[in-house]
Amino acid sequence: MSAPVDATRIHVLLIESDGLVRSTVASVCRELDIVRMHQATNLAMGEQWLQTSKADGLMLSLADPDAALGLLGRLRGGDFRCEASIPVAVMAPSCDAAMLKRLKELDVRRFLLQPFKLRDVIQTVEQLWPAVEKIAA
Amino acid sequence: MILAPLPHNEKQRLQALRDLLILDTPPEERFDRISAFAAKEFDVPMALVSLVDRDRQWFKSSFGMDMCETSRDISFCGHAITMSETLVVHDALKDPRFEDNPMVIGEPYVRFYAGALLRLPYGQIVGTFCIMDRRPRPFDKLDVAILGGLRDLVVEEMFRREEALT
Repeated sequence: MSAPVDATRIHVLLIESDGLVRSTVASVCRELDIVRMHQATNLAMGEQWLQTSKADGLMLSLADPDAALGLLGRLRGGDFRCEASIPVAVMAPSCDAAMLKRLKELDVRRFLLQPFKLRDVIQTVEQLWPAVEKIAA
Repeated sequence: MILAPLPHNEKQRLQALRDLLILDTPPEERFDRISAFAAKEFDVPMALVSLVDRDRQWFKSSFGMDMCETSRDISFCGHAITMSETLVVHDALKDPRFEDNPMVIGEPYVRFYAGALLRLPYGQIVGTFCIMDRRPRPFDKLDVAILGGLRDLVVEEMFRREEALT
């Protein structure tokens, strides 16, 4: 048995510098009631948001991989208001074996290789944060 | 071909369009970037920021089309602006409104069209952000939402431009 959950109660932070991608993903999530997508244009703003707000998920651009993975490490270490185990998806133009190992260590659930289609980003959001809560029958 | 009816508020709509002071201005990268992005996102050869003037549609941005305007009576966007939602034409050859349209049976051989309305904050619809393909294709709810999201950015840029002028 399942019951619908108000998608606006699921708060996901998107840290992405490309305004076209960021705004459109947030707009589509709002239009289709997928999640409440919060936007940060850079890691510093994202970190500030995480310190003051509780996220249910994170989508993170690895444009600056070391700094981004540093933030993710702090998140997994429980430094922010959210649960340390929240689902995380990352986006990057490339990925080598060392980065892949690091992403696995940090329990990254999805990796989106750029350039991607917005459709793939939205479907990733739908899969990671479905607005349906499983309730034991 | 069926000619598009005029919107009920055509006079006010045209005035709102003229007030934007955007008609016949040069191309701008911030609009072209969104058009190029849409063409890539949807894998279509043409994407336009189309403004519907009294007797023509004029393109503020045109990706994949050489022309900068066409007459209004053969435009898909002329039909779109009379709708309340995004107009999707999956196969123009199977749609009585467009089956013998010169843009369908001749260059640029449009078969698929989706146009999201450029609605100004005070309600006037001045044109569309649209994509076109030379083959019929499906277009689902998620596609409509993504096109709408990109359209929102076009409207935002139109107003950023207007603010810069005033």
